[in-house]
Amino acid sequence: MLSMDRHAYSNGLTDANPLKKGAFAGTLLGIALVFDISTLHLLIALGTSIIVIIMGKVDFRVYLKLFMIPGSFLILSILTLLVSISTDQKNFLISGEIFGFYFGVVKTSLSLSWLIFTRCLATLSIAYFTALTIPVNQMVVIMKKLRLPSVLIELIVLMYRFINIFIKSFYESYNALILKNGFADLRKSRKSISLLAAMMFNKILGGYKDWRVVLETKNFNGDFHV
Amino acid sequence: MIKVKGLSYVYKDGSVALKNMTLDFNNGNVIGIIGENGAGKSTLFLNIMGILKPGTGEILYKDSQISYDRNYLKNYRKKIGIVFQDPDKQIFFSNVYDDIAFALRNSDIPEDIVKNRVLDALEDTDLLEVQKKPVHFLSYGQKKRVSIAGAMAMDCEIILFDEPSAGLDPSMREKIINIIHNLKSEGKKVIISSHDMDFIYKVTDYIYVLKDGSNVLEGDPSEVFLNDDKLKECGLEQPWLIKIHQNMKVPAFKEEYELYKYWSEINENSNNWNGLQGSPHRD
Ligand SMILES: Nc1ncnc2c1ncn2[C@@H]1O[C@H](COP(=O)(O)OP(=O)(O)O)[C@@H](O)[C@H]1O
Ligand SMILES: [Mg+2]
Repeated sequence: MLSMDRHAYSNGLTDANPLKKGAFAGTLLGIALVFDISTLHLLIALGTSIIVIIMGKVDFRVYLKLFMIPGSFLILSILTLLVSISTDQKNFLISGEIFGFYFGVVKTSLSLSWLIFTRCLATLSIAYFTALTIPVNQMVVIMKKLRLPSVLIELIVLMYRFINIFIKSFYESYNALILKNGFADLRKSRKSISLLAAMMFNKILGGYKDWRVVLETKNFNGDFHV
Repeated sequence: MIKVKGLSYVYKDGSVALKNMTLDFNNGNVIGIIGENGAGKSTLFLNIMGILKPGTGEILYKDSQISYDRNYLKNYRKKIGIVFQDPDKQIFFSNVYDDIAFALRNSDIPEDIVKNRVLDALEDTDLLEVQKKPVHFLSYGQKKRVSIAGAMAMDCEIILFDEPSAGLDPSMREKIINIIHNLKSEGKKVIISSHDMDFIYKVTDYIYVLKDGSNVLEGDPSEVFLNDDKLKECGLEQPWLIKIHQNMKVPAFKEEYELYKYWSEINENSNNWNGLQGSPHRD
């Protein structure tokens, strides 16, 4: 999450026009969702990946690693789609029998799974293109252009800031617990995790109070002016 | 312009934070509020800002008591700004520019004036080159300066700094000192809370010493800091230049370089006198 953010602010395409980047991603997303053509999906995935890696100068291994996380979920769910159960062997391309039930792959589910798989790849690579090349401040420009309600934009901007503060203080507490051998064994780990949760809760509550004071000194009147 | 008269404050849980405190901020241009942790410095500031309402006593702005209705406070806080200690708790935006502009926009200042003021504040705090960086990629010292720029852009008459030097490295500390000097030369009043005695000695021209919520000592820094016993009682320490002054019989200098210059002059003189022991006396 943090490393993606870092890339967004310092990649080869950071300074490109945000509206063009947004329109590019939006158009590709539309194409990927409308057309049921796997080759097209693969082309989109390949194209955006090449743009991110070559023009965006994002390290190939970093990019691959980012893909692995949702990728593994994707493969698992495709597998469950792929396999069907029946008492009859005839429709299966390949199958096995357990207790009189046939487990296997049907032709229609094969093509459907393949379509879903390639579509996921395409949309995923578009999502990464967006996350890795459009920093949040440019995202705000795009959201404004799309005439999204300003309350929504404010919410996103603030959430983004607080997620970053949250992650920072989470890691501070987490590292402190590691240094105190809080994760030495399973029992200690369980205790440390609950401790960590309590700490974060207190920090958020305390933070909330401090933020309210600061907002008051800055004459906050309900509008974040984004 | 601001006076505090007989101020007392007790927190909801019963902790007495301020006791019958009387301060007059007309006594200096850069005023130090010093005291150990828990002495009541931050509570005093929150009272001055009108965030906390004192139990007894009053806060006078231009000789009339401040009022706690929304409109009054809104105008009052255009005149009096505060920089809190922890920058992460006062920066709301991920973008430096928007954060500095925030209080201005809340005051309905037209956007072109906002822009000028923000750019000036960025320049004064030496932040122009990071203005497009997201806040969470900035160093602690840079974030501290973003929060200072936010107060400066408001063009307040008075700025309160709660522990401005805490957690800063020497060069960043020097930058903050310069910012405070500049504010002073622009005719602003600056009130600084701190337990960093060298910092306070360097920048202030009047100080109040707090202990357990009471004001126990006040005056010109070069006089107040001579009172070593009293400072120790308050959990504080003398600035090092004063320690040297008292223990080594050299004049009380305000700046380090003055001491060095003085010292090299003595050495030169003693060389000229060729072995004669000159007692360190400055003419
Ligand atoms: N929110 C609070 N609730 C209860 N007591 C508090 C609170 N904040 C501060 N105090 C108490 O008030 C006293 C003064 O605190 P503070 O003004 O923060 O001192 P300083 O800023 O000089 O370190 C301390 O005894 C502290 O424990
Ligand atoms: Mg304090």
